[in-house]
Amino acid sequence: MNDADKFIIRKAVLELAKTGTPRFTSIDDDVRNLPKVNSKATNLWDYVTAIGAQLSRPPYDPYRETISLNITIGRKKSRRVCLNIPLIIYGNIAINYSSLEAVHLALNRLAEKGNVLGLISEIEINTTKDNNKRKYPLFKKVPFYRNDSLDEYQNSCPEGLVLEYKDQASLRMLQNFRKEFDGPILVDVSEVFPLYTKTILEEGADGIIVDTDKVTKNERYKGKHAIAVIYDARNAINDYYKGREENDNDDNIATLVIAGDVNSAGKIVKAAAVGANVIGYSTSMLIARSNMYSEKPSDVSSIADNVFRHMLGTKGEIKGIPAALGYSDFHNLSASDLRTSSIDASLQGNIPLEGGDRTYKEMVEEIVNEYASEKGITLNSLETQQVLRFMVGE
Amino acid sequence: MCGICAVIMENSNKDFPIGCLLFKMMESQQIRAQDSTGVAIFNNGSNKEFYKIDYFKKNNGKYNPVTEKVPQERLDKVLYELSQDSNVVISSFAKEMNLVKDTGLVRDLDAKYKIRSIEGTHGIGHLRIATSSRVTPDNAHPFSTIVMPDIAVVHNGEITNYSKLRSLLELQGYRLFTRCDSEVIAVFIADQLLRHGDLEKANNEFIKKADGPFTYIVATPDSLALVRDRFGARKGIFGYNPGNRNYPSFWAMATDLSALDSVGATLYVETPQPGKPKIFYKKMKITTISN
Repeated sequence: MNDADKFIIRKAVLELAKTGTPRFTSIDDDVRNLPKVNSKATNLWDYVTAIGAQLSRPPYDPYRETISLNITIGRKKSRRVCLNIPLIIYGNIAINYSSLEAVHLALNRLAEKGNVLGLISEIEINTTKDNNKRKYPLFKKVPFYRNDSLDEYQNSCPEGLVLEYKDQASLRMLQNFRKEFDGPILVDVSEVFPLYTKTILEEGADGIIVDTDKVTKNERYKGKHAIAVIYDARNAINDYYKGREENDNDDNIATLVIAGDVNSAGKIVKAAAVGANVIGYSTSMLIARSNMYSEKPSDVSSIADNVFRHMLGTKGEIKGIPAALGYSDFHNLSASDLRTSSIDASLQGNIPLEGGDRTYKEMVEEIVNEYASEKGITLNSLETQQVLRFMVGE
Repeated sequence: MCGICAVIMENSNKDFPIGCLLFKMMESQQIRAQDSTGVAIFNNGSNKEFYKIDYFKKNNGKYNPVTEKVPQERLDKVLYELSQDSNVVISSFAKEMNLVKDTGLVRDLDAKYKIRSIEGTHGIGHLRIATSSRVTPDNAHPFSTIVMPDIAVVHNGEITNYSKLRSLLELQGYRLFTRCDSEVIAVFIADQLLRHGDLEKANNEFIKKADGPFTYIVATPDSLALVRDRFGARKGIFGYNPGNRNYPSFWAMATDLSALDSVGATLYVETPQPGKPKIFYKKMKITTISN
């Protein structure tokens, strides 16, 4: 190898070390694009390309990788809403107007910087001034048992709607709104998700909202961890898709929004790993957390500033774990990325136990299979599942 | 740091000792990985009347290889029964493909299965060093699938979102037999081929969905595809041997340049662009997909 050849290779490698910014291309591309430097250009091209191909990029580096947090809500391409951070702030009636206004200001500032989050709100925010126009997607919460026409809720031009499931009447409401409204419709099913998720998705809802706080107060989930609720809610959506053609592209899969006590970066990551697509972040919780160290807690602009910084901080935190695991997309997290020392948690959320890569159920299954093999017993998968359920006490 | 390789003859009408070429390429890359090894070779003269199902029957921790030849009318029943047995790991489902794999070095595989004498039109080979799943014969590459016959995949790298892709495939009712991330590639590609039959599109879909650093080669009865991840984080090269009076011309693919050297495929040496599959069809139609 002569000096000119060495220079080309060295330049390609050094550029990688020097830039310090995330790379979107490989070393091969850089080598490919270098100018031809001598009369042996044709041969050198083959040579350099081959040498370039011998260079692997350095291992995935959590501090340099670009991690996508993007998520789309909506099962049909024509009416999807895109979020750059998988969070929806949900306003509750308990908070006052000025707090909601502060959240509005913060969400606008975040959107201006390319960090689009959603807002679920029943209360209207006055956005008549040009500089106060909404720049983030609004999911208008429709009060239940009101027979108003859809027109009333479209005044604020929401990108999506949120309905609350109560009974058969709410299904009719969903059917009617689905006919007229083109954007995504989310349905808060919370306590009844095991029973009605399938029906709601069949009626055209784009996703469900499950509040883990509400569900764990339910008899069926008493004593269970919120992670079990999220895991079961994901399975309820999966059950709807079993055997359907629709599931050929996971972009089209209905969205699972988890609300409740998921209000820190750690919990957000865990929820996403177990199956949540979007996390509902309560407005009152957001204001409380972002105001913790504020000197002027009641000032709208000060609250907006705190909320803005809190959300940016949360964004940075939730990117760290998928990056360290070698993902380039936050939504690729799965339960197998978590570890637990609790057999209960392993069973409830299908999470591997610490010190290994298998869940408690998988470990028991292996013992059952080994025993059957030793004793010459042939078990089909159904029989194995029956034995397993008995062994783990499900 | 696995090693992969593949060969496809330019004139596909005649079978050629592909096993011999793969053996040479694998030996030259043996330094990369020593845990297990395997090849899949596609043969024009294979018996087309029967399906060949190879599987490992686990018994007291031992893996006994079994081969069954099954006529079309019994195929569904046999596949169902085998996939229900928790001690069975199906390693190959084929009509035209010979797939053999085991733990150990490539010379051990040759001693056991005489891979150097296997003839065909194209084939793929793999040397494995285990990173995620155990060193057992069922986790060796190439990976096949019962979704459709004659699909084989060899893979170098890591599919980091393996669990997510696996659960999506299981949701569609597909049975996966191992905990190895590479099996997901085979099932995913087969699923895509069932939908539209387009290998380029299938690989593009996989690149879109898969996360992590990887290079893989997928073999079908009439083509090979060399695919690298979006960032080009794992290497992969191909080259051409123009042939001479004694042997026909062919294209070869590998992880290391040394493997191309070992079979004289040193012309037109290139690497596929990251995220853009390079497809080699029999009769040598080469295409690259542009986004």
